[in-house]
Amino acid sequence: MTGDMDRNDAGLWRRWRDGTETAENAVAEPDAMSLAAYAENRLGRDGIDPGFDSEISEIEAWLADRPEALDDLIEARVSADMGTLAAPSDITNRAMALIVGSQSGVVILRPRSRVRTALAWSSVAASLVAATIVGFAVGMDDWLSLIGGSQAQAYDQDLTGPSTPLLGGSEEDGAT
Amino acid sequence: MADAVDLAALCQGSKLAWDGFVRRYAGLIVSAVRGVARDGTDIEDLVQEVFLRLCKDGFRLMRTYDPTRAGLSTWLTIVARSTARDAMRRRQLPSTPIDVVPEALLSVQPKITEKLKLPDSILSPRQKLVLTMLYDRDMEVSEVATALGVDPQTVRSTHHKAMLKLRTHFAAEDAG
Repeated sequence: MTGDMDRNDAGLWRRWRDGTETAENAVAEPDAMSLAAYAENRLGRDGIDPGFDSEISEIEAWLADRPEALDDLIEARVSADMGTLAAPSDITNRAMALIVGSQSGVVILRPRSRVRTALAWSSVAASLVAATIVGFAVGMDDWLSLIGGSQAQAYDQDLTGPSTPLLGGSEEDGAT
Repeated sequence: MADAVDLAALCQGSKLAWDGFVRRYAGLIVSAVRGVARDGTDIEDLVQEVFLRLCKDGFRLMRTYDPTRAGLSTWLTIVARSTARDAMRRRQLPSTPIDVVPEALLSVQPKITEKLKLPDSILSPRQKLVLTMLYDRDMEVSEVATALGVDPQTVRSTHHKAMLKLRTHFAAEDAG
């Protein structure tokens, strides 16, 4: 308190403060945006005494009962002129980790290894061979059942050749 | 590092925008939190609480920021200090079971005070705020002027008018 103020004034203020009945309706806490606007003197309407602006009055009534909020206000006024401040890297890294995602819209292509490429093509070739064998077998079964049993047997012999007895001669051997 | 932060992209969850925001404002938030933290408090945890509050629920708090009302640094300072204070309050809440407390300590003696029949509106919110800062917080006129963003003469004028009201009232009361 500066010397130009009567010391009795402090006593009068405390007498009023301590004796005043508590207001029945507590002032609601202003949101951070309103407090920030107040800190930058951007509240109120042009031409109207700030002391009579309702929004400013509500904020000041709330501030008067909360010394810690006054400190916020003072600090906020100073912060606008601070510029960019450096922070420890472990703090920034920890904060950045809160959001995960790609660094940008670019997809980074990595060169594939030769071994992985060879394995990939081998698996494709093996799949084709297996599919061919299975397909041929299934197709043969279906066709044989379609043409009938005897014909199937004949066709089967035709494919594999006539049966040759182990100890008997052939017709060609008998004709002399 | 660009000073401008793409807030629209940030609120959409852009990792790039978030990392840029952290690098740009982490120092400011550290400074704001340091002003609130007590000895032994982990500053890193409090700073992380602030960033978490900014990005949680789809950047819900971040979306309330309006650049037409106040600067981002001002708003962030207020949010950071408020968040840090709330976090410390949560950590320091006592959890003593009521059964452990002696019954004698639980009793509340009625406090009889002589209340003034004084309407709370005798002082305007601004007048009350100025007197609070001058007498309860022992601030200088220049400090109050800086905190409120007004001229020191305005502070003196506000103080003078407030004291006139109090002197008039108490003079009448003491005479009666």
